[in-house]
Amino acid sequence: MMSMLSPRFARDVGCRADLMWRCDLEDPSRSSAFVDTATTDEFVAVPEATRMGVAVFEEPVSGHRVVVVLRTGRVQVRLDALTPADTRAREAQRVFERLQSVEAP
Amino acid sequence: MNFDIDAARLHLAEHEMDFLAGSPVVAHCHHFNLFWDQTMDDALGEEAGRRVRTVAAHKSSYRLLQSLADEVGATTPVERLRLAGGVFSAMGHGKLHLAVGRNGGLVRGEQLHYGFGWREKYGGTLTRSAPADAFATGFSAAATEVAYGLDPGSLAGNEERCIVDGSAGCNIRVSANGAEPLLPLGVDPQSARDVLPPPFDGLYEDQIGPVVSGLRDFLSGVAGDERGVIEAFGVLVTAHLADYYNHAANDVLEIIARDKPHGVEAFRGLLLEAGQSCAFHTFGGVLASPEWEGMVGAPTGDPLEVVIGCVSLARAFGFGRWAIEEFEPGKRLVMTSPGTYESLFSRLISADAAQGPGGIFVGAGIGIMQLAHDVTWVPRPSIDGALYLELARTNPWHVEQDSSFAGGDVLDRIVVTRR
Repeated sequence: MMSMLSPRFARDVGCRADLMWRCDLEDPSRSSAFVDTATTDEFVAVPEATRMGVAVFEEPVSGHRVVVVLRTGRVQVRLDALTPADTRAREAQRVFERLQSVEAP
Repeated sequence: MNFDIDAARLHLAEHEMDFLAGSPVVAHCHHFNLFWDQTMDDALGEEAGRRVRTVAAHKSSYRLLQSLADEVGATTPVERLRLAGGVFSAMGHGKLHLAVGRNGGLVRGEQLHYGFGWREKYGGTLTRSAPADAFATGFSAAATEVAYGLDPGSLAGNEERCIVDGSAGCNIRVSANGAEPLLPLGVDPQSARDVLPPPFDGLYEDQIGPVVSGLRDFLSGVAGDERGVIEAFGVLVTAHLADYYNHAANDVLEIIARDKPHGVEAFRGLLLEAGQSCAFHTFGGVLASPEWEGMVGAPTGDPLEVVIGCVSLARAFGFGRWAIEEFEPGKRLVMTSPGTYESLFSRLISADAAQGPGGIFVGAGIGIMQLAHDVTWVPRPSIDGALYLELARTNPWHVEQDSSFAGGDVLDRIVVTRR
């Protein structure tokens, strides 16, 4: 399997209380392809937030969002604000692993 | 009830100010909102500070809700309470369940912005017993009065339970009040048009304009979700009543001037620091966000780029038409504005306009220069409390306001220089 994401996953700048995490696409020029491939039943597009050069999709069951900067390939996992504090790091890692499974088309 | 906040919003484009049913609104994040409330408490003490903040919320909310009910034709108590709950959530303040009658009642709050924001920001490191939701408390009292056609100040709110102390939820009791009636004075669009001088351009308008347009386009779609939470740029955002901040600061200043006149300058210093905090947390947080990176590009470390970004943000957030008169990297920044949401209030409402509060515009001048020169943008910085304290400790910048619209001058003007 060929993941589109770099393996590094860490708290993002401005992260408050473990709610924002960052990873990056190996190839920023494939941001749109990543968004298209990642948008499935598990992650649905959030059209009203998809502007200003970012694409946003959401895991409906948890409310967690994934923000992709299309021109740089920065990917931010933005956990739902009501996620219990003691589960945040684990939840972020789970979402990241799910995103890692998105294979290059 | 879902409330369409954009439909009720009036944008005074020439002055970069926004009004909701005639009341000025600005965007501020939870970092600043908590800092502002703490500033009032630092000046007066926790109990008196909370009282002033609650009254400020009551006055500003009454004015908003009465106008809103009139505008949309909500006439019955049920309609008016639904409307109040809807606009509260749409503004990003959380969710209110208003179980009230004409004599008051109990209001249950969920995800109330201040309590929720405090718990997120400080809950892991600090303990607190004093309730945090003065805005929701004053708002609840005002909503009940407007719903039942009561005079402002005939009821009062008291937050009996708040999640900051570990409680499961927030409860606000609204009951009859023996205190004096309130005067819900405030700024309105017509008086703003009448008194503000014609807008003028500063430097780099060709770069500021498109960014402001892009930000406004983005913000036009931002409103509280079904829980009353707005998350944007990675922070909790509110579309807040500008006159909440203005009434609170004005009332605190009046109390200090009356009871401890030697403390006035110290309070002004606190307000200035609130402005610094706003620039650092709100502007800095946005500049580091994915949304900014997508629209403008991640900051490269060029000071001018940061200054332009911050001025654009101030305009898009409804602070006023801030402009760059001069900028010399590493040395000097001169910013002007025909008026700001603070100085406009002082000029129109404050009993002694020349002494009226202010601080965001002035303090932000320092914060902007810190962001432009003292933050390492590449690789990306952590815009967090530790960096804020470090910058405060090593701050090389000094600011002077040499023209005050509140004090009768033709505009607001600040000069920031290196010490």
